[in-house]
Amino acid sequence: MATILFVDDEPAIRDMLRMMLKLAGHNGVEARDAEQARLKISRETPDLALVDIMMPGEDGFSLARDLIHAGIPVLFLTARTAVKDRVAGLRMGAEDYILKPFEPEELLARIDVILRRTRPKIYSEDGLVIDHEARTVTLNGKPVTMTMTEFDLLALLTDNAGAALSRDKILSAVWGWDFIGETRTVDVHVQHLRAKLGPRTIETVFKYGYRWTGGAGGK
Amino acid sequence: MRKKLSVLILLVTVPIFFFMAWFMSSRAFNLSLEQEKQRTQMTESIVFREIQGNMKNLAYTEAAAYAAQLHKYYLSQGIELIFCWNGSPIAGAELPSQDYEALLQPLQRTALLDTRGTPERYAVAEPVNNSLTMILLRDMSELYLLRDQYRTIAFWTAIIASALLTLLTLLFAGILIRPITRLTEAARAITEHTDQNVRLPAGGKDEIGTLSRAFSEMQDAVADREARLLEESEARQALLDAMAHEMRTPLTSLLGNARLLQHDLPEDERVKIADSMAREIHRLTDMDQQLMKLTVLRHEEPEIEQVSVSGLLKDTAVRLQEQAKGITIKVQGADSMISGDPELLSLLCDNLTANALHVSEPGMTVTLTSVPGGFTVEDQGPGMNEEALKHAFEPFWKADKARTRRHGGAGLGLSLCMQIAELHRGKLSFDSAPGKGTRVTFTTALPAVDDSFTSPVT
Repeated sequence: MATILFVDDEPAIRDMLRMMLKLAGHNGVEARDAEQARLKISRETPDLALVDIMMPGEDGFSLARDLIHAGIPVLFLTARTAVKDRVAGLRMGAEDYILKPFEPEELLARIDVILRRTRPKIYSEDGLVIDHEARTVTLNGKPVTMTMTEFDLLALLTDNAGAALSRDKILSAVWGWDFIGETRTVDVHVQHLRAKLGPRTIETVFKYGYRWTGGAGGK
Repeated sequence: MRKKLSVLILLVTVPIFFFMAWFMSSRAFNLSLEQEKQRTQMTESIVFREIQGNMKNLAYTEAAAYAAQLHKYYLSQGIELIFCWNGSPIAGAELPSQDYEALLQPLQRTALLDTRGTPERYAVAEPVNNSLTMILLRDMSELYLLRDQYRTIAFWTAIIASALLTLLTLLFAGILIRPITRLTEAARAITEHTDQNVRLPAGGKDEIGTLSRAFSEMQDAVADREARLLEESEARQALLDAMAHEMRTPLTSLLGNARLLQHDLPEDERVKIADSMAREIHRLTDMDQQLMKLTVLRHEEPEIEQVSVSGLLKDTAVRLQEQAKGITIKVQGADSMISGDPELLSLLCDNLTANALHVSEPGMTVTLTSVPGGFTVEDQGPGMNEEALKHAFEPFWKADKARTRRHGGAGLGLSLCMQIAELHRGKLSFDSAPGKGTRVTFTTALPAVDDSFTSPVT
């Protein structure tokens, strides 16, 4: 789950993006132009920004330059197909460039790639070390074996340490936005994680979901 | 070209020169031949007078002896004499018998005598008495030799003169052809697009100068046409680019929404998504229709009639009343007639009025005024700044996307209006400032006919 800013002057596109990000378990923040986008980032720093290039007033390139400068990864979302525009966008330091019309799934996949790439590579806390690049977990120096899904679930929980995540959100973030399954699946995997890392690492939020409480709490 | 010309000149002049030289040397020869003949005849009469008295009464033997003496004496003087007695020679060189026969004819006194096929000797005969005839021979071979020499000279003169003439022709042809060569190079440069700005020197008043000027004019015309075509194709490309860009937005939203509908969503959200999809489809449809109209307008000739401006404005007001929703449409101004295609003018007026309605809020008034040669459409909306005015006629341009979206406009209306105005050789002018509303004025340059019962006189 990440906070994602999207800037587009077309209300129809904003409506669609809002729904899509919500379904994918992201926290979407919208802006209709560069001015509004600047206002929004002053309140909350997003993990990623989706920026349209052709907007009335200040254009997407100019806004993106400042976002990148502020350390916010940028993904351009535009109907401009010219290669030189794409190159200009990428040269500027944008993470990626996606052309309209796009498949929502592809956009979400690229968002995930960027989030994974830009997040700190090693997470360590009280003897628990998660290496996102090698996809390995060690607890007090001893390696812990994990399935792909368990690792993704752990990464999601530690990325949002302290925050309560609903089962629905976890489901769409880890299993994908188009996964049709039961929230019980989440419970089963949380049980597995608790067994491997110690029971007190993941707290149950009653009738809602789970929260990462941190550390190798157990022994 | 130059080579052909010189070969042609060579072919024509060599026979002409040769013939002329031949003719002249022949005439010179004939003249000297005649002179020589006369001189010979004169010599003969002098000699004849000298010998006639002594010889006419001589008998055969005396005559023969005397003739031999005379022959000897005159030969030493450079004159060759022959004496004949009844047709047989008695002194001097022996001649072929047919020559004697020819010379001794009563009326024939002179003859050119053939030797080896060429007449080389001239003979003049005169009877001394009934039996004796004196013949004077004159060697003409030198004259013939001279003639042959003349002819050789004439032949070479002809060849040398022709060669000189050809050389001069080549030289002058080069000078004459140079502007044409330059023209060729310029034409090739233009064809190959290496240099569009090749300019020919202005040139004189001769044919070449005229050709140069005609060529330059053609060059300008071609450049003009090319520039116009380029402009047109650029405009078309810009329209296509804009269209492609403009189509991607509804397509993006449609694709995203279609995918969203595949998920399990609450009822109200599904309805919202379906609504949004329908709106985007309407937007695409509208764009398509406007584009069709634009295309048709570009290819059809308007049907010009007399149109009442007030009638036009009133019809528009009635048609758009339903869309007005709390906005008043007012029609004013004295009626006048203009020339135009009634259907296109209605489309123009509807489009401009619909634009005015789009930017107006309930309670405001849109005023349609008939003015001489056209009409104005005025609203009390937010108006446009200079930047907006600059872009207003571009296809797909919208001053405020959110607002335009609400009305489902494709952003092609003003391009369409512009086309209609141009077809009427008319003008659309905008008068607007932020916060002061907008007034659009249409005036046609087509001459209006006051009396609609008389057809226009041309």
